[in-house]
Amino acid sequence: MREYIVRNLTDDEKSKIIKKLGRNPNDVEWAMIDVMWSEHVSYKSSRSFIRRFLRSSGRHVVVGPGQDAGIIRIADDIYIAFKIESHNHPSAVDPYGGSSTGIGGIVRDILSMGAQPIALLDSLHFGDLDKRRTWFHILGVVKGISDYGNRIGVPTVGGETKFSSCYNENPLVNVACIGIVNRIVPSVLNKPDSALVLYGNRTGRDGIHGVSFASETLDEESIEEDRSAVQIGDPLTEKLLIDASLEIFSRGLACALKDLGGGGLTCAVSEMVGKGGIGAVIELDRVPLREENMSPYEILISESQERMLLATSYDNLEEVISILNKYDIQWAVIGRSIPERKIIVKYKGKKIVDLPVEILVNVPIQRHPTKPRTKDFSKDLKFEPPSLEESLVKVLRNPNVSSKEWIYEQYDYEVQTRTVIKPGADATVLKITSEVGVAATLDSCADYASIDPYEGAKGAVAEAYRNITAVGGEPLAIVDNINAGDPNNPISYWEFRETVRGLGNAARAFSVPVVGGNVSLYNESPSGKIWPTLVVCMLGKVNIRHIMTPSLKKTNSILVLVGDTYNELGGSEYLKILGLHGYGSVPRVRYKKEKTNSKNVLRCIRKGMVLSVHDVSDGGIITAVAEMAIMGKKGIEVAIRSNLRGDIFAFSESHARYILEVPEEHVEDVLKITGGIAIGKTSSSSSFYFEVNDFCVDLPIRRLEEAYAIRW
Amino acid sequence: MSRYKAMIYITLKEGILDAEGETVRRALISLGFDVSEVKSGKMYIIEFKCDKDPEEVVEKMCRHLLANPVVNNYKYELEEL
Amino acid sequence: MVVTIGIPVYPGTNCDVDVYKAVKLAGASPKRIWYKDYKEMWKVDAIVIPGGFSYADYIRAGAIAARTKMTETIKELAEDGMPVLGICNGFQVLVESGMLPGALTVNKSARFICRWVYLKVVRNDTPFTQLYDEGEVIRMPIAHMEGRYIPSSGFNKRLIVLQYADSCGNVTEDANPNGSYMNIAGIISARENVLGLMPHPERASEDALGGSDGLRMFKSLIEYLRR
Repeated sequence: MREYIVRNLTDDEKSKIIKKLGRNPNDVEWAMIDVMWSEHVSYKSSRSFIRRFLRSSGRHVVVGPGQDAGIIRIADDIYIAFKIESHNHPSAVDPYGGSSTGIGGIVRDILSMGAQPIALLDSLHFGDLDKRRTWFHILGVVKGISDYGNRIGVPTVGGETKFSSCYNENPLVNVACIGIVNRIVPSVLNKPDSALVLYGNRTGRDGIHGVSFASETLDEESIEEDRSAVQIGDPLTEKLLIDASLEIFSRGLACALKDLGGGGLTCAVSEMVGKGGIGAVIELDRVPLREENMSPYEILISESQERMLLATSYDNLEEVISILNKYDIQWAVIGRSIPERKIIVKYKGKKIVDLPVEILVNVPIQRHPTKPRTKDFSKDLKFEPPSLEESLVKVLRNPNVSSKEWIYEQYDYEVQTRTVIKPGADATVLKITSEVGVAATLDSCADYASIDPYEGAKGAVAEAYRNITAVGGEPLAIVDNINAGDPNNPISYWEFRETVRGLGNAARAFSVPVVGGNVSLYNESPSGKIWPTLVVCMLGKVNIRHIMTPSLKKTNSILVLVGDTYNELGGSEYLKILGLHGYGSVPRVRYKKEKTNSKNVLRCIRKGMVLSVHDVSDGGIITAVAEMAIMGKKGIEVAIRSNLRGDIFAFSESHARYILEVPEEHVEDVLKITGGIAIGKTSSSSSFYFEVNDFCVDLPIRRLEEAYAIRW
Repeated sequence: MSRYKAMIYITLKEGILDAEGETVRRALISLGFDVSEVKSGKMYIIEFKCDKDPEEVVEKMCRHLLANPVVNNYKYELEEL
Repeated sequence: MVVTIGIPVYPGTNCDVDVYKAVKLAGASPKRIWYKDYKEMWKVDAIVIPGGFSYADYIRAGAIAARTKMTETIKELAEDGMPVLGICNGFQVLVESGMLPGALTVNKSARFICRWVYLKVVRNDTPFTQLYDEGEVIRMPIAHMEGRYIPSSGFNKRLIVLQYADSCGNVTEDANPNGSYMNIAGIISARENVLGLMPHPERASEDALGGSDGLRMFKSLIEYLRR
């Protein structure tokens, strides 16, 4: 039998545990404590900042952080669950398996709340496109999401894909899932004498040490050595799990439910009963196994996918089993809950584990030193502008900006027939009833955060806020995923703190509570660390009759720019194509302007005074107008006078701005409501004419489309 | 330069979940076959030219693209054309 | 007369609820039937095999589902003249079980494709297309990995009901999303009671979702059954 090697505990932590317990834990107990105390499960390095900076209350919030997913109310009887998680480390080593099991895990988290999963979104960050390793990541990750998501019948409806050399070795795969809740199933159990049913796939050795793996930095060796840390997805079983679980919920048979994710059975059992103030007895011999000679600790911490732990009353057990049998799902009653606050594990007639629950679920907070980065580039930016035409084509062709159709076309975004606004717009809209819809977006501003982590984090929230607004939605709530470097590196840890602080302050200022989140640290390899990358998943409420898309609809309508433009090129796509990333000041979030402009744009949309709306973000105004023209296949004529140099005005990425397409008869009202300016009009010609001061672009739309619609 | 033909078989490593193999096993049983184990995999037939050790070339193809060393085993048969 | 439409559900089928909603919207009474309850199929008036990934598309799309008792039952009912419509994975099941000729294999791009496409209605003299005009151009989404139609020898062109086309109805190479033989999107059996198509009519059943051309396919079938 293999001996367990403790990976996550410091000597100090070990002695604390021995003192608390009053004895030396045995090998199996060490394994359980080790996974529960890992960063991935316990959030020990991140919890203190999250508690300090994030607020999660609000009038729509039904379930906040701490459960398997957050739940908000969007209308009288409509509850929506959503959550985001990262699967960065597994995807770096095995992109296909890593991304597909990421999808599987997040879907089961939503299922765990008693919700029906209705949509997936993913935020992908990859390295430079000219690196072979990047293509290994892209092809595997996209195929993994496609193969798994499509097969389980949950549409992948949106997200973002960004590129930077900082992700060469550490790609980011963050996936979010949205579900509709009919009756909430808690993930916490407080009833003793309930039956604990493990159902789904059998348990194998896959993913042993998965959590420890996610709590370490990657090096060449770990890539080969940690094979067993990689999990393989089985979408067919996942689909059957969804169908069977929904049937169990609809008959009211679930007392509590948990997905087996990081930390496997150990984590699921101890969190389910531990947070409910009770304990459990587990009969380990009953766990269905896929491999022979598995040792008890391997069974307890295996991260085999597609497994769920259900607590049900013994009276209902027979009905639960008949449902599982109908769907050909393997199951076993592996234990029961007990009133004592203990986790007891029996194996081959012997008691092999006897631990107080507290030792597993109350993990002390860990603090690390922080060290701010002080370099300030903002004064250094001076350059001779190239021609606006050339720059626009380059920006549109840049993979951060160009159309992602070649990616989202590989995802089934239509299944479940709810997708009203399809991928490619500012946000996706899903139809819930004939009137009520949910708008969803995923956004990050890591390029700003690379220069200023605090402003970058706020920027991600502001961009999400605008994206929801642009489709006609009222922003409601956030779940977030923070990706950062090694917390033992003081600069990385400072970046992490600044990110949490920015997120917390922005969410509070916008009155959009953070109802759940995930932290992925250790995104560092010998060649460097990633930019601090906050991914914000924001949901909004829409009236299906008042939704907007960015594509231009008519000729001879007026283009209105809402919001002020500043000299804010830091982190912009423009400076990236000029090779000047790192210089200049990043766009500042101005809360009051952002909120006022959002409110005013929504007012215009609801009054039916606009034809299309697009938020201004990557690539600035000129890119936003170009995208609207390309999507709507319409010509435009724009002329602007500005105090800023023309190219700076065109490409500045200042927040709080929108482009509106307005029919002639509503222009006066729209300008009055929004305080915007008319910058031009749509035309029946097929040319793109954009003039700002002495800078000018005059190109056929087709030329722009060729750049924008580049397929990889 | 010589021409070669390689038959390359990619399978999953021992202990890695083979969901396809398992589904096919159950389907065969339901059709009445007495099947105890099914392993799924992929096969590629590749014709190529090279002037050095062809085995080394095929090894490279496997390691760089066809197989993911993290989850896959590979083996191949090689013949000169 | 209440028309009952049976919707078989195999492990991995995922468009059954969407078809259910569309059939209901079209005015019939839909019934989802788990593959183990195949005897329930004897009680329905017509069958719509929905899309999805039965048995995760292992071996070949539709291959395992085609060899279940459920599909055998559907085949017997079709031989007795019951109308059967197979959508996407349902089309693959029909081909794999021999209810329709030919084969469906991996797209020319070797990628999964989800996209709205234009279709030309080649024949409107079938139970499924009688509410369309001959030559009409309609719009529906496709979403598949294995949708490239390969004919068997001696293929009869009379069987073609739907072809991928451009927005003006021209059947061109550019309009062919997956490399299908003769831009085939849907074919009917020689007896004209079994239609298979790759596009998803149930996803084009409501204007809010992008179009309602697909709803007429279900309405055609219901009208045919009522006569």
